[in-house]
Amino acid sequence: MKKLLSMVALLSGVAVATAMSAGTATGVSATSLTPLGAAALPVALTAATTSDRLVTVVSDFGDLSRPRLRFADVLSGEGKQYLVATPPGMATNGGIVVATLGSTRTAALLPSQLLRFTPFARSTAHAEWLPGVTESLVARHPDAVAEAGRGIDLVDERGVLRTSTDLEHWKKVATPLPQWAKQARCKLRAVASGRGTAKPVLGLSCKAPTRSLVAVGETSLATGANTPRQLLRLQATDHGYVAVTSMPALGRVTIDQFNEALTVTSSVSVAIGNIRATAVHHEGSVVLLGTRGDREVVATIEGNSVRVVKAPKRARAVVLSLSGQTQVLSVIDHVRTEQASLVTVRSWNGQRWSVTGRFGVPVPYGSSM
Amino acid sequence: MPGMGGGGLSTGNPVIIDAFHRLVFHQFLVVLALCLAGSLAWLLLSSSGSPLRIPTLEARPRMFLRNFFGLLWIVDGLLQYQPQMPLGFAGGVLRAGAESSPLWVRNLVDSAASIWDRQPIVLAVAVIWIQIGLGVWLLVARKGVASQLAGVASVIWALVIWLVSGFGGILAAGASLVIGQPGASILYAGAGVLLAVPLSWWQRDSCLVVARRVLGVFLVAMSALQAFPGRGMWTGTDGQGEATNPIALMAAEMASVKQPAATAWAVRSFGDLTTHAPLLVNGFFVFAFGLTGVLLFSSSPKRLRTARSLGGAATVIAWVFVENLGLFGGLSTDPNTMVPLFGLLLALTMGAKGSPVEEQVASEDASDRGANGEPLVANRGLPRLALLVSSVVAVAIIALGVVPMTAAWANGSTDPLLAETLNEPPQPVNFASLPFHLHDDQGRPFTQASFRGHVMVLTFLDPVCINECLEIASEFAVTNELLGASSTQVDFVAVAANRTYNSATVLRAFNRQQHLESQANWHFLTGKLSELERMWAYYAASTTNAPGGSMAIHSDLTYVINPEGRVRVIVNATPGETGILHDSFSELLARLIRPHLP
Repeated sequence: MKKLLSMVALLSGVAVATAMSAGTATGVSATSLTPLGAAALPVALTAATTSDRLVTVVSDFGDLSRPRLRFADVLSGEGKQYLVATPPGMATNGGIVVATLGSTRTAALLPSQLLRFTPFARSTAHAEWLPGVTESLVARHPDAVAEAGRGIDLVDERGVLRTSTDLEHWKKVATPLPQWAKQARCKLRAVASGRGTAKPVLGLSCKAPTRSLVAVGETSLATGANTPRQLLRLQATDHGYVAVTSMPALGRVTIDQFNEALTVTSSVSVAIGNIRATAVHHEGSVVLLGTRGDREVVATIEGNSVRVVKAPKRARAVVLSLSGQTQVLSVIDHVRTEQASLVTVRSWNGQRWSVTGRFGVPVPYGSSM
Repeated sequence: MPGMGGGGLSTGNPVIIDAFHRLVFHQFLVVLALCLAGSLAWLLLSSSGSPLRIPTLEARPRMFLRNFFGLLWIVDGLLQYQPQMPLGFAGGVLRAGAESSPLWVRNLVDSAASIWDRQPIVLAVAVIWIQIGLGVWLLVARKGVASQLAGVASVIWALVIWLVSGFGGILAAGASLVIGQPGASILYAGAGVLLAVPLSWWQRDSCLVVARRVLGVFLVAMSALQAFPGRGMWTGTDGQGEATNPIALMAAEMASVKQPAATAWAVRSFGDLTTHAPLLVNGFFVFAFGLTGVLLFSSSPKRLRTARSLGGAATVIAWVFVENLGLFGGLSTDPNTMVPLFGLLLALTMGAKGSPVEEQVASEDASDRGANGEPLVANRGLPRLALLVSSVVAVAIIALGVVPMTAAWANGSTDPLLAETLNEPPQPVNFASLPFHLHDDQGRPFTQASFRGHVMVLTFLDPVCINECLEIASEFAVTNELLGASSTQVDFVAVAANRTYNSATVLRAFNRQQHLESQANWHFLTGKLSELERMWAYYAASTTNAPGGSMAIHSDLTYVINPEGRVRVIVNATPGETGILHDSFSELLARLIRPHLP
C-alpha cells in the first residue's frame, strides 16, 4: 500500500512537471506569434483631381500613425491659393473620397470607428455643402465615387449605386463582371462615369494576377501581361478615361489612356514604386509621388512624355494646377503641440521647385477619441 | 492599462474606495452582530445543562497546519481590504498574472475578471469575508466533522482562486517556484486536503508519509523546472547587457513598488546579485529545493530535520529577497507561495524525533502519539457546544461573502456606481420641459404632448457621430431591456444634434444601424433647424460644427422627464471606455427612471 501510494505521488509529480514544461513552451510560442496584417487599399493615398474649374486635393493631416488622430481634409484651389474645404459636421478619420465635375464636388465621408454608413456632401462653386447619405459602406478607394452629368455613381460592398442629385435615394446599377474578373476573384473598387459610355467604367481589385483592372460590362480593357496589380486611380478625362495601375513586384506604374470608344490610345510605364500620392488632370496628365531607389521622386506623365524629378522634403500631395503645372504640397504636422498643420506649396518651374504659397490646416486633435 | 480598473476607472478612485470601505464597515457590524448572537446562543444553551467536554486528541502537525493556514486566511482577508483592491484586482492581479499564459488561460481569467469588473465593490468585500470566515473556522473547529468541513471549504475556495488566477501562472512562460508559481492557492488547497481527511488518519503512518512524499515530488519537480536550460534562469543578461533573468526581473519589479527603503534595498541588491551571479543564485535554489524534496522521501528523523532546515532557509530567502514578503504594492492578495510552503514543510516534518516540538512534549504520555511518534494534543478548552456555535458563526461569515458573490456571478448585473463615478452624480431637478414640434425618421409628427403620461428620457445625438452617440443609443436600448414590462411606460427620445446631418434619411440610417427601428418606444426626432436650435438652447445641448474634419460638438446630457412633463433628473451620459461602464450607465439610468414610472 505504501509503495502504491508512493508511486501515485511520484507519477503525480512527474505529470505536474511535464504539464509545466509543456505549458511553458506553449506560453512562449503564443507570445511570439505575430498577426498577419491585411494589405491596405490606398484610401489614405493622397489624391488630387483637377477639373476644368477646380483643383481638389484630399490629404490626411495630424498623427498619420494613429487613426483617431488622423483627419482627412479637402483642399480646394486653382493653382496658387488653397482653401480648406472639408465638408463640416462629420469626423473624417475614415478618409474622404471626392468626385469632381466642372465646379461641382461630391464627397463621401468614409465612416470610422462605430459608424457603418456613409454620409455625403455636395457643393457647387464653393457654395455650402448639402448633405446626403447612403446606408452602405463606400469602397475605400480614391475613385469609389464618380460624378457624371446624369448623377453620381458609387461603389459599395455590393456593386455600383447611382443617385440623381439628392444624395439620399440610391439605386443599384447592374454591373456584370467579365468572366476573367470572376476567375481572378476581383471585386469592384472604383468607378468612372464618362460622357461617352452609358455604362460606368469599373475599376477592380483582384486576388489573382491579371492583365487589366478595368472593365466595362463584359468588356475588359487589357493592357499587359498577367501580373499582380493595384489600381491607384481611375478617372474620366476630356478625351475618355485614364487608369493608373501599379505593379509592386516590378516597381513600375502604368498609365493607360482610353478614348470614349474604350480603345487604348496610349500606355506609358514608369519605373517608380511605393506610390504615396497621385494627381490626375482633366486632360489626362498624371503626377505621381513615390520612390525610385532610395530617392523620393515626383513623376509627371503628359501624353507619352515622362519627367521624373527629386521630390521636396516632407512632400505629401502632388497636384496639377488648372494650367497643368506640377505642384507639391509639403506638410509639417504639429502632433505634440496639437497646432494646425503647416502646408507649403511648391511649383515646378522647369528647373527647380519654388515656393508659391503657404497655409495652415486646422486639425481637431482629440475630437474623435 | 496600468492603474486602471473597473473597466476604465483609476484604481485610486476615491468614490469607489469610499463606497468599498463603507460596505466593509456595514458588513463588519453584521459580523459583530453574528458574534454577539453566537455568544448569546452559547450562553443560553450552556446554561440549560452542563456543557459536554470531550477531549479529542489532535496530532500536533495537524494542529499546527490548521492554525497556520487559519491565520494565513485571515491575513489574506485583511489584505483584501486594501483600497486599490476593488478596481485593481481584476486588471492588476488576475489579468496581469495571466499575461504570459496561453490564450485559453487568458480567456478563462478574463471571463472571471469581467465578473469582477462588473461588481468590483461587492466582490472585493465578499472575498474579505470568505477568507476571514475560513480562517476563523479553521482556528475554532478543532475536531470532528466541522474541522474536516473547514478543510474542505479551504480546498474549494483555494481551487476557485487557483482557477480564476490562471492556474497560479503555472502555464505561463518562465514559471518558477521562486517567483510565485504555481500559486500560493494550490498550496492552500494542499493544506486543506490534509485538514479534510479524518482526524484518525493522522494517527496512521501512511498519511504523513504520503503527504511528505507528495510535497517531496512537488519540490523535486519545481527544482527540475528551475534547472531546465533555455528558460533564462542560468543567465543574467542578454547580449546588450539588459537583465533578463526572471528572478532578477521579479526582484526589480518588486523593488519598484512602494515599501520601506530597507526591504526595497534588500530585494534590489538580491536582484543585482542574481544578474551578476545567476549560476550561484539559481544553483542554490535548484539544490535547496531539489535536495529538500529528495530528503522528504526519507523516514529518518535526521534527514527530515535537514529537509526542514534547508527547505526552510530557501523559502525564507526566496520570500524575503525575491517575493519581497508578498505584502507591498497595494494589490497583494497573500504573502505569496513561500509562506504556505514553509508552513507545509514545518507541519509535515514535525514528527521528526529531536525536533523542537517533539522535545517540548517529550514528557507527555507516550501513548498519546501518532503512528510516527508525533505527539497528540488533547483539546481541553471549549466544549462541543461552543465549537458548534463558533463554527456556525464562521460559516455565517463565509456566507456573507459567498451569497453576494454567487448572485453577482448569476445575474451578470453591473454596479451603477461605476458610471456615476465616471461622470458627476445625477442632478435631481424640477422644472418644466419645453414644448416642441418635431418629427421622426418616418415623418410622423411628435410634440411634448405625445409623451404625456409616460416617462420621457430625452437626449441629443449626432446621427453621424462615430462613437459616443452610437454608444449612448446602445446604452438606452439596454436600459429599455432592464426595465422589462415597465418599458411600455417609458419613451426614449433623441433629438438630432448636428447642424448639417439632421435629415430624416440620416436618422433612419442611424436607427437601422443600431437596430432601433423596431423598438416602439425609441424616437429619433428632427425638424427645422430653428426648432432644433430652440431645443439645443433650452437643454444646454448647444451644437456647433468644428472645422478640420471634426465631429459636431454637443453635450451628452440626458434628461428624465416625468409623466407630468417636469424634468426631474439630469444625468451626464458621456460613455466610458468599456462595455462594463456602458452597462453600468444602463443600470444607473434604469434606476433613475423607475421612481417616476406612472
